Amino acid sequence: MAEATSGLGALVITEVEHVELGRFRARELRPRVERRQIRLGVGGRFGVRLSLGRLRPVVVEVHEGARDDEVAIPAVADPWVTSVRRTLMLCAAALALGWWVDRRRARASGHDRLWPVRRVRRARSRGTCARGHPPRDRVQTEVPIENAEAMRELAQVLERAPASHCFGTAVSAGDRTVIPVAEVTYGVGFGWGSGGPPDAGGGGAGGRARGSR
Amino acid sequence: MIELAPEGVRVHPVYDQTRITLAGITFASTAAALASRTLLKLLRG
Repeated sequence: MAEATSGLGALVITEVEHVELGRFRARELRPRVERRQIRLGVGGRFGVRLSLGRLRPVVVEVHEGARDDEVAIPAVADPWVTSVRRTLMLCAAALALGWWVDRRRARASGHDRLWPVRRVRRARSRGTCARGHPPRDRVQTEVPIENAEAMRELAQVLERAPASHCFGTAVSAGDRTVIPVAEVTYGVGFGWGSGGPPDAGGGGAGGRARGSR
Repeated sequence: MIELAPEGVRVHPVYDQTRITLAGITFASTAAALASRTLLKLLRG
């Protein structure tokens, strides 16, 4: 039985792409789209890979004869994302307050509590887990790399979604033309693992695309 | 939304009032529940 390699990695990628929207009444439109991706990966006896991405149109370049102009596209915050972010901050504040009050009470009663990290370190030095149980026997097997490679290929389908998906079909009425613009976000995640029988392994993938503007 | 008019090219942001209202109500109720639960736990010990 070979011991599997393990590691943790994170990567943030920002790219700018141009989209040719075409010519509308002697004006050529060429929007710039910012593609931002965050890739996280953990590998070992089991592995997880998570890729979050966003396609955001930032500027429309307008070419009219010899004149070039740029019109900025303002970012519109998603109210649900803002709401979830604020709720998470509140939860963190409530947890920190609860822990602080608990610790003060424990100190006042003479039973000082250890911080969780110190508790784990002390348990490890004793050869047990944090709750005092003996450590489990770990079976190390080789990670089936073919599964991870196949899942990575699948994830790249969403990661390379074209920037033209941010723009809808132009609608003309009278002397005006309107082009819908959207911000596209997506997330891809998959995992693989092994253990138990020597050749066991598995994986899964999922993705999501959403327009918010 | 990109608008092409004879005067020039303009970009108008589109705000969905229904989503903003629903997200606001959800956040307010969650914050109230969380605050009351924390306060009660702190007071009771």
